[in-house]
Amino acid sequence: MQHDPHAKAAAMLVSPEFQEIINRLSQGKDSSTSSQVYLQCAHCHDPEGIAAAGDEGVILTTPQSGQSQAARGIGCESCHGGAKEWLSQHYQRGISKSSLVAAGMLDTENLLARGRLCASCHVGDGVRDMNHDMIAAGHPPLRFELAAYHRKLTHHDPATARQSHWDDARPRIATSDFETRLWAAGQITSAQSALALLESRARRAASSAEESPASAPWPELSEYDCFACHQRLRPTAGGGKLLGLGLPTWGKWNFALLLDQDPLFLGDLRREMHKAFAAEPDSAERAVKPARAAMMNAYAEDISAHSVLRQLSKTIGDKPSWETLCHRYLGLLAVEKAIGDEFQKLELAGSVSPHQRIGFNRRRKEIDQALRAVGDSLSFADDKSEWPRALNTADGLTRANAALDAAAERLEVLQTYAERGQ
Amino acid sequence: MIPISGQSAFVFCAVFALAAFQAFCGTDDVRAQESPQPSESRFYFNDTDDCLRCHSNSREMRDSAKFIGTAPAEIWEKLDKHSQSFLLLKGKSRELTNSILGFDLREVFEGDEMTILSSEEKVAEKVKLVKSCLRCHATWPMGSVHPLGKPHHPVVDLNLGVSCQGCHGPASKWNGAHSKMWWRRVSNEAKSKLGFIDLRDSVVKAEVCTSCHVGSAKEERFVRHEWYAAGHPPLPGFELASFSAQMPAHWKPLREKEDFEGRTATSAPVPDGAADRVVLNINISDADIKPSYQEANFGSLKPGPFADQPRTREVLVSAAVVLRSYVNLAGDHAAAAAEGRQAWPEFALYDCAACHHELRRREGLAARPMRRGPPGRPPFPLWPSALFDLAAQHLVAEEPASEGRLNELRTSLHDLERAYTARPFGDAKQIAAAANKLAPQLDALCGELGKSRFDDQATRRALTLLVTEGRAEIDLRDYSTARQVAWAIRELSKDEKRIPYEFGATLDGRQQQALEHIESLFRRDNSDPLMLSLPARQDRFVVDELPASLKAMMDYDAEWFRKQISLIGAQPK
Repeated sequence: MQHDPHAKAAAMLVSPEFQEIINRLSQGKDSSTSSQVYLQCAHCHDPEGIAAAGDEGVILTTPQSGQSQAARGIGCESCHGGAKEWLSQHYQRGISKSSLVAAGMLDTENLLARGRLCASCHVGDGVRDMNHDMIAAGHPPLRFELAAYHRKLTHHDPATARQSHWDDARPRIATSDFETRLWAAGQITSAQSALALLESRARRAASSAEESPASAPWPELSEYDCFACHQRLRPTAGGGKLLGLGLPTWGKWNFALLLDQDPLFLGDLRREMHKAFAAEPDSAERAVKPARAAMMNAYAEDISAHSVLRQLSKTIGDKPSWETLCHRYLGLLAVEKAIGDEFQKLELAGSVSPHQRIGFNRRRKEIDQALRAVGDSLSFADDKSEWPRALNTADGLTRANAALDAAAERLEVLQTYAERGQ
Repeated sequence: MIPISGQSAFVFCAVFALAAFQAFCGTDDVRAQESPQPSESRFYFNDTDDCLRCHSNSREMRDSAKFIGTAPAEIWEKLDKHSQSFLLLKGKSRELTNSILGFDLREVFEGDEMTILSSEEKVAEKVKLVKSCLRCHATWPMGSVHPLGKPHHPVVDLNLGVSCQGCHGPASKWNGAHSKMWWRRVSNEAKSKLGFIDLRDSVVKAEVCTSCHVGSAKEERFVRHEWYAAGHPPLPGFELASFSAQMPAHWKPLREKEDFEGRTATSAPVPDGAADRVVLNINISDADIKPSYQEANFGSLKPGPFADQPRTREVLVSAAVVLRSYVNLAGDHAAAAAEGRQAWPEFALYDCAACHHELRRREGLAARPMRRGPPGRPPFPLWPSALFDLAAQHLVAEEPASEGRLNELRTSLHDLERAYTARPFGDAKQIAAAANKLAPQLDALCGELGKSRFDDQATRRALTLLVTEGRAEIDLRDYSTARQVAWAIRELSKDEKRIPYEFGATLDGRQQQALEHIESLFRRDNSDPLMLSLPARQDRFVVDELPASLKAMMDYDAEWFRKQISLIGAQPK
C-alpha cells in the first residue's frame, strides 16, 4: 500500500500545490471561505478527515504542515468501507464474502462495484464534484479509464514506485477476457458516475439561483469538450461555415463510446445538453433521470474481447475527435491485453506450438508499436503544454484514426491465435 | 426645401440620429426598421465627389490651408485603408468574405457591379447579414434610408468604403455652409443639429472610431464570435492616437494649425455670414454665431485648447471612451438577450484569451492574468479598461475632488466584472443592469476628460504611470493589454519629444532620432512581437498578416514586455 499513490493523499494536503489551488479558488469567491472550498476538495482528497469530523460537526480545515497527518487523506476504509462491523472477522478463515459485505465491507472484487468506487472520485458523483473552476485554479482535468488506471497502478515503475496493493491474477486466470470486462465495467461505471454528477450539478444549479456554497456553476464547462473552446487561434479556424459554429460538444469523454447507442442509453439527454449553449438546469435534470435508469442495466456479463473488438473496429461517432480516439485507443489496448492473457493461458496449458508462439509474438509486437505511436500522437506534446500532438496538424486526428483502423484489423488476426488452441 | 446638389441619382436621404433609430413607425418590415423621422431631422448623404472636388485639391483648399490643410482627402484616397473597406470585401479578400458568409457575396446584389442589394424575398436573410457587414465596411449607418424609401439602395456608393460622411456626418444640410469662413464661428450644438459630426471633439472622434473598432450594438456594428470563428480577423484593441497615426491622420491638431482666421478674438476676423445663411436657407440663427472659433467650440472652458498635447489628449480620452464603448456594447447586447431578442452567451463579449490559451500545467497559471471572479469562468476582457487608470489619475491631478466619483465608477466596473463571472458567462440581465449603472458614470468621465487640458505635465504624468511598476492597476500578462500600454507609451513619448503630429510633417534631426528611438522601444530582434504596427494602410493586407498576428497573440512573452517597460522607466528623462 505504501507504493500506492492513494497513500500519498495525506501528504498532498499540505503541499504548496494543493494550497495554491485552494487559494486561487477561495480568492475568486466573495462569499466562500477557504474551509468551504476545502470541504469540496476533501470529499476525494481527505475522506478520512471527513469521516473523523463528520459526526461531531467539526469544521474541517486544511491540515497544516507539521501537524500529524494521521487519520487524514485516503485510508483503507475510504475504499473498503467502514470496518467497525467486520474488522475483527475479515482475516478469519472460513468467513464468507457475503457475510462481510453484509457487515459493510465493499465488494472490490466485483468489477462494477470497484469501478463505481474508483469513478466516484476519478469522475465524480452526487457529492464529489471537481469542476471547471477548480481546473482553472490548477487541478488537472479528470479523464478516467478504469483499465488504463489499473495498468498504471500494477505496472511497477521504479521511478514513481507505483504499485497496487492487490493482485487480479486469480480472476485473470479463472475467467476469460478479464481485461476487457474490466474495461467495460469502467465504461459503464464512468458513465453512471458522470450522470450522477450531472444530475447533482443540474439540481444544485436549478434550486439555487444565488451564488452560494451549495450551488453549482451552470453551464458547467467541464461537462464539455475541452478543445472546443481551448483552441489555438488560427486563420479561418472554422473552415468557412458561419452558422452552427462555436458550440462545444457535451459528454465527449465519459460517454464517448455511447455515441452510436445514444438513444438507447442517454435518450434525449445529449440533445437537451446541446440546446443553445447549455440546457436550462431543470430540463437537464429531467433528461438525466431516465438516462441514469437506462445506464444501470447497461453492463452485459458476457462481454468478451471479441465483442469489444467488434465495437472498436470502426470509427466512433461521425468523425474522429481527440476524446473518441483516446477511448478507442485505450479500448484496443484492453483488447490486446485480453488476447495476450488468453494466449498465455493456452501456452501454460501446453496447447501452443513453437510456430504459433513465434507468429503470435511477432504480430503482437507490431500491434504494440502501432498502438504506441497512436498513443504518442494523442498524448500531450511536452511537460509545459497540455496540447496533444495530434491537434497540432490538420490531419493529425484522421491519421490516428486510420492507424487505429489498421490496428483493429491486426488484432482480429491476433485473436485467431488465442482461439486456435481451444 | 433641402439643399442638395443637382446630381439626384446620387442623392440619398438618411435619418441621422446616433441612438434614436428604434422608435420609428411604418408599414412594411424594412420601413418599420428604417423609416424616416419627421422631416426636420432628415439628413441626406451627398455625392462624395462633392467632398473630393475640394478636399483632394490643394488649389481649391488654398484659402482654408491654415485651418484645414491643403488636401486631406488625398491621404484618405491614396493611403488610408478606410477607402478600401468594401473593395477588399468583394475583391482581394472575396474568398474569405464568402467563407465567412457561407455564400458568394454576389448573391445578395442585383447586378455584377454589386452596387444595389437584391430585393428578392429568397435572399432576404442573406441581405440582412451582408447589411450588418456594411455597417462598418461601407458608409451605410443604421437608420439611413434612400429618399424614395428604397431599402436596398446604399446611401453612399459602397465602393467608396468608409468615406467622408461616414465619420463627418451626412452633409446635405451643412455642405453649403461648411466651406464658408463663418462656419468656424458656428456653435457646436448648431452644427450637430445639421447632422455635422464634430470630430475635433476628441470624445466624439473616439466614439465614432470605436463604434466600429470596438463595436456598437445600437449601430448594428458588432463582430460576433461566429464571424471570428469563420475567419474574420480579430479586432486588435483600440488606442486612438496610435490608430490615427497609422491610418494615417488626414487632419492637423489645433496646436499645429497656424493662427487661422477667426481662431480667437485676436485673430484675423471673419464675417458672421448673415447673408449666406439666408441664401442657403440654413437653420443657424444669429445666436449660434459666436465671436470666434474658440468660443464656438470651447465656450467658457479653461484656456489653452490650442496648446494641448494632441496625442496625450487622444490617448487619455480614448482610454475612457474605449471602455465606455465596450461596456455599452456588452450592456446593450445583454439587455437584448435578456429580452430574448439576441442569443446568449455571445462569446465575442468575453476575454478571448480566457478560452484561447493552451492548456498549461500548473506552472502556466502564474503566466495568466488573475481576475476578480472565480477562475474558470470567461471574464470581462481586460484590455478595454487597460488604460483607464491613466484617464482617472489625469482627472484627479486636474481636479482632486473627482477622486470620489472615480472610485464609485471603479466599484461599478468591478460589479460588472463580477456579474460576468457570477455564473459561467454571467446572467444577461445582471450584466445589463451592471452596465446600465456604469454607463452614466462613464459618460460623465468622458465629458470631463473632453473638457480637460493636456499639457506637458499631463504627458509626463501619464508616461510615468505606465512605466512605473505598481503605479497603475494594469495586468501586463494579458497580450491585448500589453498592446494598449505599448501603443500609449509610444504616442505619449512622441508628445514628450514634441514630434509633430501631422502626417508628413518635416522633422528636424533631433526629432527624427527621437522618433526612431520611440519606434524601436518594443522591437525584439528586429521583429515586432506585439504587432504594434497595424496593417492600416493600403499597401498592407490584414488577411496576409493573420498567421503572424495570431501567432504573436499565442506566443506573447509577458516577462520580456515587463522588462522592456522597466528599462524605459529606468531611463533618465
